[in-house]
Parts: sequence; C-alpha cells; structure tokens
Amino acid sequence: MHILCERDRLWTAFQAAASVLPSRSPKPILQHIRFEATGPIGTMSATDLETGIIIDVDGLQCNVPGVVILPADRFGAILRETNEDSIELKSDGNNVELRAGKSRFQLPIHDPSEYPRLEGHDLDAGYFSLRGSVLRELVRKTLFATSQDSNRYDLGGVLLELGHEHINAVSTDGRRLAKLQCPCEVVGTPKVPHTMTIVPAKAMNLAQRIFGDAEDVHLVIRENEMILRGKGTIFFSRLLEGRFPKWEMVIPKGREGDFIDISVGTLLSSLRQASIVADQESRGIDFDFREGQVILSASTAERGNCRVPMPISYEGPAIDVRLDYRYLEEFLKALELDSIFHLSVKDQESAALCTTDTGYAYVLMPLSRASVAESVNTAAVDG
Amino acid sequence: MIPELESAFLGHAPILEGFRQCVARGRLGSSYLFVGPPGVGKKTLALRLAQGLLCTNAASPVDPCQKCAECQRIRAESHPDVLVIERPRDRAFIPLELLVGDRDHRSTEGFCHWVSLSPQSNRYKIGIIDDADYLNTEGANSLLKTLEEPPSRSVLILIATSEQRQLPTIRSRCQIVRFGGLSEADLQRLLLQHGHCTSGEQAQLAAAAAEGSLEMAHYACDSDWSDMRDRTWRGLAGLPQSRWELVEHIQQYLDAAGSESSEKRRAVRNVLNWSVQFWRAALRNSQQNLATDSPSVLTEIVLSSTLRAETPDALSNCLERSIDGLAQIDNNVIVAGFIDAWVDDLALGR
Repeated sequence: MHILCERDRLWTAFQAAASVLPSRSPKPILQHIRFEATGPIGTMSATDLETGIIIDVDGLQCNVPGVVILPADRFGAILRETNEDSIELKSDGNNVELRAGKSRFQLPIHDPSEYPRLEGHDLDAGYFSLRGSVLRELVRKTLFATSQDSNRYDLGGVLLELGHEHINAVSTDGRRLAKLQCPCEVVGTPKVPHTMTIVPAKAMNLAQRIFGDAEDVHLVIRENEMILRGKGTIFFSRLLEGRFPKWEMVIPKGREGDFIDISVGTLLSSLRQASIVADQESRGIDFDFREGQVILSASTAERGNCRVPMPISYEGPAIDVRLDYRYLEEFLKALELDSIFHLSVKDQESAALCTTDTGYAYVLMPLSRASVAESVNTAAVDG
Repeated sequence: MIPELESAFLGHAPILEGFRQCVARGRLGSSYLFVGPPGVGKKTLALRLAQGLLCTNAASPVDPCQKCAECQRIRAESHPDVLVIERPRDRAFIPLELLVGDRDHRSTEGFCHWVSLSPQSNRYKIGIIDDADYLNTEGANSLLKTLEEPPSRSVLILIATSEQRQLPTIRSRCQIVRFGGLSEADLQRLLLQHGHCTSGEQAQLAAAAAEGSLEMAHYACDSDWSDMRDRTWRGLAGLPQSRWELVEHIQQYLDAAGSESSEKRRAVRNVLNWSVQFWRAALRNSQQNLATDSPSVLTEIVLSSTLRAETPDALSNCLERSIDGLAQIDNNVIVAGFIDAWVDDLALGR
C-alpha cells in the first residue's frame, strides 16, 4: 500500500473512528483501526465488537492499493502532533511507514485477516430515512429511562418499532417507561426482522453523536444488527436479545379528559426546591392536587420538611400521589423549559401519565405510601 | 499456556464425540462446566468447539478447517462471537468488572452484557470463562441469571479444575464435562511437537512425571524446576527430621520466584501441588497400590522412604492438609507464616 492524503481529512476520519474504540480491551487488535485504500476514496474502520464504524476518506492519491491495521494510539498521536498538510503512508506488509514533511515514523502492523469483519453492508435494497435531528431527539427522550439493573439486560436498550410513516422508540426500567413516536420515510422495500429490535443504550448514544447533525440518516435493521448510514459514514451495532415488555399495555388508556396542563420550567423549579429535603433513598415527594394548585411536600426526620405550592389549572377532586422526584426530573429535562406538557394522575395506585403534543409519552409508577409506612413499622417491630 | 489450535487435537475423543452427537441431534446445551486437572486441554477443546460451531467449512462441529476467516479470527481472539475472559495475573479473583462491567458501566459492559447481544454471525456465540476456580461469591452470583436463562444460540463454558470449587448454584446450572489426564504417549508427542523437548528421552521423562498434564510436563522439561520438585519430595519423605531443611529450601525457592506477591503465591501453589502428588503416591504405596512398572523419580523416593510404616490415616491427614493449603493460598493467606505452619502440621500429622 502507498498513498498520499491530506492530514485534515485523515484526522477528521480518525476522530470519528476513535469514538467507537474500546477504552480498554483484553483483545489488543481492537485498539487498532483498519485503513483501506483502493482508489481516490478509502475507508477507515474501527470496532469494539459491539459497535463498529466505517468512514469514507476522500481525496487520496492512491499509488498502490492495500489494507493496513494501524495502532490507534500512535497513529492518532502522529496525526495530532504533525503540522504538515499532507501525509504519506507506505506499507510493506510487516511495517507501515508514515511521512509527514521531514518526520518519518515506522509502526508495526497486524495481519488484516485477523481484524474483525466490518464489510458487506448493502443498504440500497431499502431503508428507513430520518433526519439527524430526529435521531438526536429520539435518543434524548428515551435513553435516560433504560435500565441500569444488571439482571435485566434486555431493558438496557431502546426498542425500535419501524412503521411506514413513523418509528416508535420505547425504553423502560420497570418503574417508568418513555415512548416517542417520530417521523420517518420508507425508501425502497426495507426488510424488518420478526424479532424485537432492542439497540443497546451505548450504541444509541454513539449514533446520535455521530449523526446528530446529519441531514439525512438511513436506517436498516437486520436480525442481528442495526445499521445507520449518512455523511459518508456507516455505523452498526449489534442488538440485545430478549423480550421487551408489551409497552402498549403499560400506557394507561381512557384518560382523555383528565389531563392537567403544566409548564415544564415551573414544575422543574418547584421540584428542585422540594427535592432539597426529600429522602435520598426512596426519593419520594408527595404531590397533593387541590383545586387551582398542587402542593409538593417532603418530610424526613433527618433532612427536615418542606411545602412548595404551585398554581395549576386543576378543578377535580383532591388527589394525593407520591412520585420519585429523580424520575420526574429526568423527564422534564428532556423537554424544552418553556414548553407545556399534560399530566394525568388518578390515585396513588395507578400510573401517572405525562404526554406532549409531539407524540411523547412517559409513564411513571407512583411510590406506595403504605409500603413506606409498613417498612417503618416492620423495622420498629424487628428492632 | 496458550493453546495450540493449529496442531491436531489429541486426547478426549469421547468428549469430542459427545459434542459431535449433541450438535447433530440439535441438543447442544447452553451452559457447560469443564472440570479436570490443569493443562489437559480444556480451554483448547472449548476454543476448538467455538471454531467448529462458527467455521464455514467445518466437516463436523468439532472439526474446524482452521483456514477460513472465522477460524483465523477466533485464533487471533478478535472474533465478535467468541469471548474468553480469565483471571488477570495480578488478581486473586476474576474481578467483577470483567463479568458485569465496572461501577460506571454496570450492565453495559462485561461478559454478561456480551452474552445478551445477538450473535454477529447469526449462528452461535460462545463465551468462555477460564479460571472459573477464581470466581469469588460475588462474581459467581452475578453469573447465575445469565447461566440460568442464556439467550438462544449462546454456549457458555466455565473452565475449572474442580467441581467442588464452584458454588452449588453454579454447578446445578451447568452440564458438567469431566476431563481426565492425557496419556503419556500423547504428552510426549505434544512436547516434541511444541518444541518444549528436543529429544524423545527427555519427553518421556517429562511425560512420566506430569500426571497427564501438558502444563506440568512443560515445567518438568526445565531441569531447575524438576530439581526443586525432587528436593521438595525428598524433604517431605524425610519428615519430621528434615523439617528445617524443608522450610529453608522452600523459602529459597520463594525468594527466587521474585518479589511480587502473585509470583510467590504461584510458587507456593507449585510446592503444594508437589506435596499433594507426593502424599497421594505415599498413600497408594501404603495400600501396595503404587504402579511401579514405569518407575519415576516420585516412585523411587516413595519406595526408598520409610513411609510404608505410617498409618494410612496419618498419610491422608498430610494429603488433606496440603489440599487445604491450596484453598488457603487462594484465599490470600499470608505466605510467610503459612509455610512454617504447614510444614509443622505435616511433621506432627505423622
């Protein structure tokens, strides 16, 4: 292999490739990136075996085509430190020689056949097309509700359901559930596997970082992987195996007339005040809905108590529920501060439902007041 | 020792045949526990099975071609559907972060998360935990859920030297595959093939002393190592009179092993393994059950000592004390005091 390339183009591609490199890995070959040049456009690829990326590098002067597996740390450092406009890369199969102006580096390389396979992504038969900003929104509004529990691996990702006009993205950790419906277009006849598509949280986060500012992102789902394409980049992620809960059954039905309009910014501010003295373990805050106002209150023996009233347009009977303030706070942070959302609460046994006019729904299970009192009593008896 | 996957696989034919039939009938299990002495080819067989299940040209699931891209990537440890984790050399246990990710990435990294991913090849994924002896309670418990309900198309293999060192909850979730030692002929062939021995005679001696383990045979090729072992055996045979010499000799061996505590522990483990071999032979001898047709250094030492006069109870006490010692070393007992106490116990146990 023998090529000449502009340093800036290599550096931009390298930074994108490095985003999927594992921070540490027992497999040394994963700390390398693969660079292939067959003509004026080459590709740079990297993988941590869970996600992978292939980036086009254009403007190459390719004298001898070939493939090299370069050590990411040293190759990256050379690109970063050099001030030259162009870099020459030459490989004899055992070593690679990099020339930047008068500087010359020789690095050992790996056998390309040992590098994990990253090719074979023919997406032109059909794909779902969405805007980068939509992908970013999707991740922002669902990722926080994925499970961190080490026993529920199938909840550690976002469920994607692909339709002809929209994508449903759902995430849950068993105590709350977030669902966003966002627009997409179908191009060609993409195949959708029969199995559930659960994309690991880490991959969703990487995807929005890579494609968040792209005009048009192409999405293909296979039985074992999700593939995204845009901006001369192909990103893929393996899927989680497991059974995602039937989320339609979790979202409460028949609450149409019960919604209260609440301003995001005002509630967030009241919530933050009330959380100052809330119990840090149960994180429960009482919401007492009265005519024209909701009173947020918390009371613990160690931390003190508080009462934060907030005016709302509510005219129904008094309802008292206890909610986990952090779960509510995470939902509010995913919305615009000056926007309005609709809240429906029924009683302290039933789920609270938050919706927006943009197809976003968030279901939150209230904390049981009885169980807290019970556990206190049990502790007293045991003691 | 790095398993040599290229060479023809020797020994364990019934186990291979068992796996061949399991796959042919579509009854391959999802969790296996391989148990057997160290260095008899458990990991090699596990990797060979992984290659066989993923190889594109395999004649049978235990006969990979070794040439296709899948086989090559498994050998280079870069195959996305094969993950091998083992105890880092400087740790007493397999750390929890290897199994379920560190604190910041709990359940989004590590072995259990990897198992929950779909196989990239769309066929199987094979997860291998080498050194499963060194799973502590926390680590073993973190595996239970994954072992009990692994996703489809996953094969998990735990590799251990003893069933008893696994929690009952792990044992009950795995199919147990027991490995015996390799035959002396196979060992000799492997020693010569891998270039550990230069002459057939050296290979024969090393194989005779190895009790079926390639790892032991490999060490036994080193003359310093076998000298040290023979001196330990002689010291044990001369107890209680040889007590001081034995302690001093072991101390020298430990000092030579290096200043790192992990190195010292490995050396003590060697000494204890020699001791287990010795007392086992002595016990057999007391029952007139020692095989003397292929005389080895150990048989010679045992036969020339006065051990036959000892009661079998006393000998089995010494054997038990040495096996306990191995467990104590794995539980991080302080090495300096341990040697004195252990040799004292052996001397008194007689």
